[in-house]
Amino acid sequence: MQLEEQTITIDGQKIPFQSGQTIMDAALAAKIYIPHLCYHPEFKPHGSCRLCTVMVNGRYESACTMPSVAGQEILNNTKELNENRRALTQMLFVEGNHICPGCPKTGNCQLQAVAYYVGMLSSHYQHFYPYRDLDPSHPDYVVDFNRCILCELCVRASRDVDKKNIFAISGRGIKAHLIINSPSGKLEDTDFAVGDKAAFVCPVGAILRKRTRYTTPIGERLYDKQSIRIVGDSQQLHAGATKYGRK
Amino acid sequence: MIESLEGKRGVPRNRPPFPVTQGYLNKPTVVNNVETFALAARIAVYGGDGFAALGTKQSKGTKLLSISGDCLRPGIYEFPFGVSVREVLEACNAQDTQAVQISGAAGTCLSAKEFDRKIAFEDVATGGSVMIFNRQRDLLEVVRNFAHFFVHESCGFCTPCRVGTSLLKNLVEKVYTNHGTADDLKDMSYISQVLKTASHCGLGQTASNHIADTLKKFPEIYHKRLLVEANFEPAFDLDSALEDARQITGRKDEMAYL
Amino acid sequence: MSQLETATHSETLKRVVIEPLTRVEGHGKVTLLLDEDNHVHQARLHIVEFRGFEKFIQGRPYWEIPVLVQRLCGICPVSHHLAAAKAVDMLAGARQLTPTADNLRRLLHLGQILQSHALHFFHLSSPDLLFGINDAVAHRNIIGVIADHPDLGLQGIRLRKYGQEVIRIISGKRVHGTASLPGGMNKPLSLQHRALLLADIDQIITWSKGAVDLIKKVYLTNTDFHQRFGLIQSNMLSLVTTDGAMDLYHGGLRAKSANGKTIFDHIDYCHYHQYIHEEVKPWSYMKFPFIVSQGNEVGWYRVGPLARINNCDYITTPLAEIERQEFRAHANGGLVQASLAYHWARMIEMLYAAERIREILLDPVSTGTDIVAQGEEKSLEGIGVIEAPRGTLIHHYLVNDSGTIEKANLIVSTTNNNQAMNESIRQVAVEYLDGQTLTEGLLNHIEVAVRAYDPCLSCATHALGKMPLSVELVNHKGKLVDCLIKSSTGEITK
Repeated sequence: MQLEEQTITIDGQKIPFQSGQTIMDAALAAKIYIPHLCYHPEFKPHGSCRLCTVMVNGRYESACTMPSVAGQEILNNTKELNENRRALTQMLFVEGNHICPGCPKTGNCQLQAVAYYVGMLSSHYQHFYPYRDLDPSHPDYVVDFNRCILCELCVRASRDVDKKNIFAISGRGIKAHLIINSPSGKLEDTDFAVGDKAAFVCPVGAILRKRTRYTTPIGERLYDKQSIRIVGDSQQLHAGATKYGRK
Repeated sequence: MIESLEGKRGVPRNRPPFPVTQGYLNKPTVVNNVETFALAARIAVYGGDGFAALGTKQSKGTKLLSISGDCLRPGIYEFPFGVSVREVLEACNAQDTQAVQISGAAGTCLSAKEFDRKIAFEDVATGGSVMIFNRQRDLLEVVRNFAHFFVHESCGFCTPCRVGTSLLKNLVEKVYTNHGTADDLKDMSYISQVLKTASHCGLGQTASNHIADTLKKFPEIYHKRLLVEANFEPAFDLDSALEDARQITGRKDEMAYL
Repeated sequence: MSQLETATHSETLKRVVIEPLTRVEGHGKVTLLLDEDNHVHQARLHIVEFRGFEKFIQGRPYWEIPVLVQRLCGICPVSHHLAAAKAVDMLAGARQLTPTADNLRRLLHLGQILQSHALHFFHLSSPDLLFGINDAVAHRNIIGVIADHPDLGLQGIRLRKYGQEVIRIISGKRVHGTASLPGGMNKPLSLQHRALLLADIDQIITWSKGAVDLIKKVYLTNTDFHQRFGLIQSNMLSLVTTDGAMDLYHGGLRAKSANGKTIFDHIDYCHYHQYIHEEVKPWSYMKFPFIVSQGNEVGWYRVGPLARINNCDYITTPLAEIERQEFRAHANGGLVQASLAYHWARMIEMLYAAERIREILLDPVSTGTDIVAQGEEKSLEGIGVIEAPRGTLIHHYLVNDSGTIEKANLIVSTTNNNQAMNESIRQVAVEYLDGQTLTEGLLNHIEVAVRAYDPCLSCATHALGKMPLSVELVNHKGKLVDCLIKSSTGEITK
């Protein structure tokens, strides 16, 4: 069936979309950057980080879950929305223990890159400094819960792609945290493996391959030369992606 | 609720799709409270005309109000829509009222100046809860209570509500314990707005109302507790930090007070 | 225990506190106990050291450590990075680096030595040496040096800049970059970068030689004062190569006694804990290391430029070797023990660093691309020792099977010099303070002694006179007798 050309407008720019696409899908296809952390084109949108909150016909909506409807007037890159995004990023920074200088993901980290994009100069809010553990039990991977931002990409990847259901979120409110579904709670007691989708989707430094770190020199890391607005997600997959499940 | 019925973690769903089209087990589902069902039954049995004759043009019929707090006759009342707050207060015999919290912790806090406002969709909408606070109450205690309530109620799904409610609680505590500054009030106000605009569900969107409302309508409950009113350099209090050391060393000389 | 470390009847004495003295990135203090006639009975240097790191890296994966622990310091992060990297090589079973990686690590470290020594000498210490200890505070700083000796001041700044450029090119950033991986490096040296560094190196060597000539002239102009100031007799510890040459990146441990006799030599540094123990004293947060065979009373030692130049048999680069010989000739066959000779030795090392940088840049191996050695045998213990700008630096880690740190022991240069710095300030206190009323000049004498060892101690207060400092004299009843306050503008008030 030939789809008729339908359009939405983002910050005054008219862009086409196909039925079933969310605002995020349409924006990415048109190379318009809407900041996001929990969104990943290969997975069902989650809408939890709220970075992609945009104004749709005067209402606040998350672009990753909001279906495109012809004629929508959308505001994205505005001072107010970006300030909101900065506050949300700061909240994520104070909620966990994000020590960029010592983190192997630095320079390749989506949270850090978004923080640069939204002009975050300090975490501003009082740090929670939660006590969180590190799970180094697996021979090839280490899970550092300090750096988890609860985007649930690993949860979704392990459940929907790997069919292993290794990760889950437990606890409510500020006590919500990532857990590993095994009797011991340790990654070594799961069938997590190097080739798993869940091993590659973490946008921050919470799930990392052991030993081989800092291999990319400063200056050549993903976000060293260009902003995340141009570079895109740390998984480098979303260029031209349309809807989850297909590219 | 639907997620829980399906045996999943109790977090709010993305809408759209709404439950009316895809609810429980992705089937169309009606989600309403008991009052709605009761009124629907009454209309079904007695017809809609009598019901529609009550209330205002935009808010027809009656509303059950659950009245609690500083009044002589708390309880469940049924009023036609359009009743003023003052009439409600008189009906339950509330004296010397400082503030009325309509529609629960997530609702609206009204000051005495607003008691002529009407309970109706077009003015003060409510789920039915009315909490009355007289002038003997310390409203900041109420705010604290609500702030803690929302920390507990937040499911933790989305960033603004998960983190923001705790940030707000900490700031309220900071002000309550006389450590707050004008900058903290600015932060509270801004975080409140972020919750309202960015939260995933209605709980988060309204979880900061009590703070935003009281900051606007009862600023004195915050200001009277600030460490200093203006020009405060955020830092720790050196003098009080030194007090422990002075106690231990028994020093009282001039140089022990920096 | 040395004389003046602990007074016998401290309760009857007046207590003078110099605080903050400024120390390694923060606060240090000197306390003095005086009797009614202002005679010194006790002098102690207290420094709160960076022990926190040993604790909070516990549980972290070892491959993060070199990048993490370099945050110990903003002046010599490269030394911490490389000491940890050497320990991590062991953990990863890749101690034998490729020749290219070895050259690159050495180059990085020499850049560190060059920039740190230039900073220490020109920015921090030259004002004392050029203008005298009693020169006006407002003038006694790097700005004063630039005003009075513009060429010299700018040379200092450019020398430091060159060292930092070396660091930037190898590690990506001037401060706190990333370079070392387990068993190697993360980036080869490009021909363009090599050419960039080679373009200026001859000038750098000339200036470094000029710096040696300058300190030599200053030192020898008032020889008696410079030799006596803070003079102590100590053992010396440093790394040397198997044939006894000075080496700042790798080698065996050599210790000499104060009279120049060898205590131990060519010790594999992995066995350092058999030769060096640390003593805890109730009055200081910093431990006091000593050479086991000498005992804790007299086994303390000095590290850093003075120890290295004294300890080695020769220096591999020609210009620095000529200077070393002249330096040693002043000790008449023994060891040079004067504390201010640290500055002279430091400039000889800077010259060595400049010469070595040229050698490494000209070595075709340096631009190779084989930069990571693969490890086979894994170890659960990793030890890395390096000669940091201020002296021998020891990193020691124990890890568990999953690769996280169980235990860490870091003996930093400042700790190695702890007792020696204490001895030097005691010497200065006796020589210049005993029986005197407090003056700003006195205060600065103490600082000059500490500054000879450790630039971090002085950088906060002295560099631009920014750090407020107060010296107070309190009698035994706790009453304030005298007080000197140095404000953040450098103004001294009573």
